Amino acid sequence: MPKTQIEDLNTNIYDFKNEDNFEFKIQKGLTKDIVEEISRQKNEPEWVLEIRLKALEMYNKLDMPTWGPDLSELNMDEIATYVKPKSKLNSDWNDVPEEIKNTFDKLGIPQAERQYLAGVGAQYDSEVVYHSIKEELLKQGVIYTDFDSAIKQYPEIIKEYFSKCVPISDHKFIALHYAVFSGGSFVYVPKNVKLEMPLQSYFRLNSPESGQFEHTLIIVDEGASLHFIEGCSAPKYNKVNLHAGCVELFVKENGYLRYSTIENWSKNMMNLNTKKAIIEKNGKVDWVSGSFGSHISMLYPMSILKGDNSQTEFTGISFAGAGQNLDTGFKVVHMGKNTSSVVSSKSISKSGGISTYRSLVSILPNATGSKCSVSCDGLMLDSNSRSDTIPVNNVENDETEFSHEARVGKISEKAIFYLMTHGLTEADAKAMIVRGFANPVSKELPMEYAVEMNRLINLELEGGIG
Amino acid sequence: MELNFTPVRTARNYGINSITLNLEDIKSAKNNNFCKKNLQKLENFPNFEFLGENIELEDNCLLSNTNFLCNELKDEAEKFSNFKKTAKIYKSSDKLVKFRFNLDTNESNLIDTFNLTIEEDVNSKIIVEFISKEKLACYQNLNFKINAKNGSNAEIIFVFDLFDSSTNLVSIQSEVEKNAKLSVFIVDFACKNSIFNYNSKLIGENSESNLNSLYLSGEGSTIDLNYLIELYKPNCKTNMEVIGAISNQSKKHFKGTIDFKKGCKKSRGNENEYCMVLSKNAKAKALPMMLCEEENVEGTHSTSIGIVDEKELFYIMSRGLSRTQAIRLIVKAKFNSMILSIFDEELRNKIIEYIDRKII
Repeated sequence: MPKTQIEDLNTNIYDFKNEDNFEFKIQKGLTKDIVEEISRQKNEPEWVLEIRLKALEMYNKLDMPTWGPDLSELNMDEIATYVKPKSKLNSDWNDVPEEIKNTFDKLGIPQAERQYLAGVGAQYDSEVVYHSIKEELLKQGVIYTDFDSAIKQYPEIIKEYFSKCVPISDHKFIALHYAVFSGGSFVYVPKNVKLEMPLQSYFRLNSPESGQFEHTLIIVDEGASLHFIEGCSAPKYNKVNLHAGCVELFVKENGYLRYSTIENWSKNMMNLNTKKAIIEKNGKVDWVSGSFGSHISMLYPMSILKGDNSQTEFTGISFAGAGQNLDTGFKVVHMGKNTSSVVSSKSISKSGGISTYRSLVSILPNATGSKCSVSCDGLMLDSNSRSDTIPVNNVENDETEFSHEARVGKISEKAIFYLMTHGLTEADAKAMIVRGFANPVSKELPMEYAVEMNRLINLELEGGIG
Repeated sequence: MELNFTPVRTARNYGINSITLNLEDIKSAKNNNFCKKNLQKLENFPNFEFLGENIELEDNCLLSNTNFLCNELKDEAEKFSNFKKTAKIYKSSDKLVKFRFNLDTNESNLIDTFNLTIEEDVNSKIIVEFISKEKLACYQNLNFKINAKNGSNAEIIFVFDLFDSSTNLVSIQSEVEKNAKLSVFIVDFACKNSIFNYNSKLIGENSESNLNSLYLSGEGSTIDLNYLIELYKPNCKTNMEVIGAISNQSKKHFKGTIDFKKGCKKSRGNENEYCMVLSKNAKAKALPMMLCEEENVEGTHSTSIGIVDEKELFYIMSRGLSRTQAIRLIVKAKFNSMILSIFDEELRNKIIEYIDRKII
């Protein structure tokens, strides 16, 4: 049987670049002066600068990770941590400068907003250039704004929650984030308000040799529910770009949050992102994650099941092609009684790509009656690639049900044969199997995004197999 | 001292990349001249028994393991070993081969190096036992190397039954050649520190390496199991089954890795771990890794934690058994298939007796 070739995901639709036009671009590197200058540019309160400086100190103290992908290509002296685009924050797409608006048009954001989103935030380099929310949600008390505005408009809420879920000392790159963070979104959903349509924030990094450090803070109050979608992309440059964002999620009693991410960073991007949720009694957070882009990713969303009967689910897929090392996974800490978690992770490796599933499940002594089930699958499309599974499971009580299972292998020849006996070509059969493999993730996405994800895979499968 | 490192590191705060033991304190606490300056006074270990036929035994051997729990223990093995043997099984035999190490008041410290070769096309069943004959803290630093030559077929059972307060540091390594099959069974009646490293390399085509591991914790055991099976050649096969129960204040770390190396086409690997947690204060950690750089393979692994189900207990107790008897019955039932796979009846009975004795 001739060897099937499945090409890398076609990310060309994201790989268009504008000229590096900016209002202000900070000098490369990371120093106290640079951090102070970012704070000055953003005209932010003194307490924020204090956090930035404390974080910088922490960054300098903390060691690089001694595990995971090799990060030696990352040189902070070559990264500009703040790029202010030539645009103010707008609430009407017509007011966004043409070039930037065209970027988001190509990415389909305004169209998506019109069709099925309740609100949109669009960040270009280090600043949010567009933010809007449907009028009826405002009337219900929903807050959806860019993070800089939130610091100024809701300082008490931000002070109460900012860095409380993901502390500055968590790891070196979160310390970096807090030192230079800019942009991102703040969402507050009041008690018992249930949003029917999702909110979406889209992050676009256009400037070469720069970093994006957006901060997303979401509070879902008691009995409320929200679906939040995060998208990100960048054009490809020859030198390293860095993304070290932070997502802090607070879900109160009986609250529900679905956090979906489709990540399409360019293949020169180091994606060192941190996401964490604290979930109170009877609350639930569902993570849906698709990691397709970036040169190196270290991304492990985390749920802390703090309240009794709280729940979380993680459904993720990563596709590592040539030159990609995607070290992704999930972390969950069961603290409350009768908490439950379900993890389903898929990875595809090809053309020398490296996929690693790395996880932590920790069930603490008081989390009696807890249940956790983890399942991960690795699909190898050739022998130049790598697929590793590195899960840590820690159980500290005797009233817990826990199971983990993983598989790795290639596309089953029997399955291909079976499909071919039903009239499919070998290429179509393999393409169908790969799409089926990704199906548990795509079915968790809103239909439009699932179609987009499948289209991404199909584009190459159709032309590349045979 | 940090020892028993995983083949791939993960985040330090997960606390599973290695285990830390204060070996100097452990040795000093034994208070029987077991400190480094006196190590050289260790005499050849006399309490060694051997049973079997078609074996060549030599009183010396090179330290040929390449995996060690840590460099300090490697040094200790090189400089202060009090038992070195090389054994070659050159012909198949129906008779069981037995090596037994008895630790007692006179000899409670064993730093042993053992190389065992199963020659080409030889079939053999072997038991290697380490037993405390008295209630005293023992110390062992074992480096055991197995060479399974082309076409050989060997089943080797290691039994570790050292007194509760002992420290047992074990490194076993095997190389399995073309068409050879090696099945290793590690039975550990865990003592205070039960640290195991097993590394098997499938270096020949169509070779097979299986590992069964069964442990039962003592009062407050630290059990650290680091098992690595590496598949290098086409059509290799491995199956790793690990089962155990921990109780009281015991903690268990299981680190099991199947590593599909480039070139091991059409190989298959499976790894299962099951741990019964029998007390509120017991802690179980697991890191079941699968590393793969070959496309045409099938790899699976699973790990699970079991608890004693209250409904099962209630049902059994309603038939007249006490709670303890019911728990014993459930544990024995969970272990049953693995116990039955042991070819030695005496050992099977010993495990069942041990469960009865420990679960009170």
